[in-house]
Amino acid sequence: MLEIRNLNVSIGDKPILKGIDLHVKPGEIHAIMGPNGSGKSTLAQVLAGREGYTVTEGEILFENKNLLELAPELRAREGIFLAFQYPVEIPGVANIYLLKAAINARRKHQGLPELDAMDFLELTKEKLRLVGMDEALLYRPVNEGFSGGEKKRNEILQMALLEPKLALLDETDSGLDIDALKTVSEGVNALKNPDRAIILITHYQRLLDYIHPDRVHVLANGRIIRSGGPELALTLEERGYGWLETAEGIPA
Amino acid sequence: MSTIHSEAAERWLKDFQSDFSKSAPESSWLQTSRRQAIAAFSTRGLPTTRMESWKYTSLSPMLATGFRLAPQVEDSAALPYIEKSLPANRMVFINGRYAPGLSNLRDTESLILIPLTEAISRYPQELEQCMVNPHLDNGFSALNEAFWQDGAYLRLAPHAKPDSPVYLTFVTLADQPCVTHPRVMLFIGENAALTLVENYVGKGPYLTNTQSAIHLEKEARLDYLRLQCESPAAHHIGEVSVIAEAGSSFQSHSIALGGVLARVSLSTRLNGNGASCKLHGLMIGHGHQHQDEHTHIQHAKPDTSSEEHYRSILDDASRSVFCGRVTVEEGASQSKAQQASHNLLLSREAEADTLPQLEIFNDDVRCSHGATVGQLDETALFYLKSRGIGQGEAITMLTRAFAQVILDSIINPFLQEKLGALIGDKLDKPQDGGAKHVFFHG
Ligand SMILES: Nc1ncnc2c1ncn2[C@@H]1O[C@H](COP(=O)(O)OP(=O)(O)OP(=O)(O)O)[C@@H](O)[C@H]1O
Ligand SMILES: [Mg+2]
Repeated sequence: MLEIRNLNVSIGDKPILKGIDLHVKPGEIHAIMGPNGSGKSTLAQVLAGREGYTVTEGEILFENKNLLELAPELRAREGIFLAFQYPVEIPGVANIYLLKAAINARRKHQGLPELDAMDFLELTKEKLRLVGMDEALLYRPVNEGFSGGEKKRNEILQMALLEPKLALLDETDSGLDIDALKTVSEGVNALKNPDRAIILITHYQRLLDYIHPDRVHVLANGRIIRSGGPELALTLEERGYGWLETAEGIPA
Repeated sequence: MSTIHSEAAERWLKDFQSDFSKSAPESSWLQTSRRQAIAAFSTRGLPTTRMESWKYTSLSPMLATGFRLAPQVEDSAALPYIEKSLPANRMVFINGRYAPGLSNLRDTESLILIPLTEAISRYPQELEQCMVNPHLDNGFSALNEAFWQDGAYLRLAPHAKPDSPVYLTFVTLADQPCVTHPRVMLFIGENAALTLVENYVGKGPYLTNTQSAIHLEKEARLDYLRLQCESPAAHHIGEVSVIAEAGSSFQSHSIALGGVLARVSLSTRLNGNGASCKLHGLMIGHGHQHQDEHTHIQHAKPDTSSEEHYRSILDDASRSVFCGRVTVEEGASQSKAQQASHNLLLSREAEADTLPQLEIFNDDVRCSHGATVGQLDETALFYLKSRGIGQGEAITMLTRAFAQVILDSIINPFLQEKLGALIGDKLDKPQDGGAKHVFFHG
């Protein structure tokens, strides 16, 4: 489903990603961990199509299409979803309005008719329950004045409605209380199916207790320096990143 | 005054005088007032960019036009501009003249709404007193006073609070460049409350030079929506002067969508203890539109408060000017003044000038102001696109959201919704000027 080959990305003159290789098959869950500033969000943003990054080398294929040629909105309509590490506040745009526009853009792309107001509301309410979000938040401006946890739930609500093929969750667990972590994880697990892939960016093993990854990767200084099974996350929790970086000959 | 200004002023005066015809004989005070206004115009002439308050708005292109006084046209010609479904009270003027066939007035004891010409014959003394303007401080007000044909007179009795808004619509239909000089006089009685919509629309090349005088008695309240939807070839000069007595509150929304050049000056005098005003404005520009909003708030008495929030959205090579002058007089202790101006530039050639002017002669007051000029937030744009929303739609959503903040403060839900739709249209289809804006024509 997703093939990243030798991806090199710079911001201005500064190389951030230095040769990433990653293969994700449908149905798989991958976790990406790694120190602050190592390039995890950069990778997620590049996948979603954020401007301002220069791909200096390498390629990204999504379902065998060259992803880098697609505008961000087309990537989204093709089924890529990024839950932002820092969800954006948009004063003056009602949350529900954004949800509806997003769903219908996707449906139109798939050749489906737009949802009418009733069906849309019904669907949205069902998903609200799934992510344990207060209905009142639908009618407020997107993320404006939302608490940290409410913002993260709102991202998962959007994901649940859009049913992406590839979901990128950038630290969706940070800032969630213990109960919220559980509901949000359930929301993500409900989305799991053999046709979908999920990439979780996280700092904490805790999330992986709820959402079980097939593969765990460590991103440090712009490179994936180690990949392994779920047990790798446990080792990281215990030992930190230092041993890996020295082992790879990269200064900590 | 530059040569072009004085030549234009002379030509205008000569042409207007030869075009001017009265519908009925006028009383001598009125004739005197017109003569004095003509004399004042001859001395003052037209404003130039050398005057501080006209620095950013040049009239030169307008002065090259040979305007004549607007001729009378058939009422039916204005039908496309009138929305049929709007309830009373509505008053329609075409080319500066009252159009009874298109109006729908409820002349009750508590709400008197009649053409100004009729008011003059009904209440001659009262109008003589308030209409003769001793200080015509600029050429446009002098011209209006000299050549007005008709206008609206409204008096709301103390404690009256009609449910539905009053609509005043001024339509100008111009085949040749022409000018109208409408007038509006509003008196809101003690503890009375009203919502009023003043709307300007039209077709062709013309100049609307309009004056509104508003008086709020003690504890009165007025929600005043001024909607400038002139034709794309039109010029619009509007002056609104408000006097707010003790405990009264004046809330305005000045929405500038149309015209090639428009300038609105709104001056509000908080004339009694505890009087307050909230002034909102939204200017939208496309092509070479130039929107200019000047406000002057005078805090004359203690405990007065003012809030001001103006925004502009500018595309192509359009321009906006916002000048917010606030004077806190010596006696106005414990007063509060707040001002914000935010400007959104959608193109590189667009330009917004925003000028706060605070003149404070009392230490015991709280004043604040803030201004921004910027583009759409890239991060917000990307966020929307990452949800599958196309570039164009994302820009529209964010742009409308920027305007919505101003509309949110319109209290009447019907007006808020209608205006939202109107502004949506203007943002989506900027080229469809005046004729599209059939709303409020009632
Ligand atoms: N616009 C920018 N200009 C310059 N450097 C940037 C810019 N954006 C990101 N960077 C740098 O790129 C590097 C990678 O940042 P990124 O946000 O991808 O890290 P991260 O792995 O997600 O970190 P965290 O775990 O703290 O979220 C950092 O050193 C960061 O400072
Ligand atoms: Mg990050």
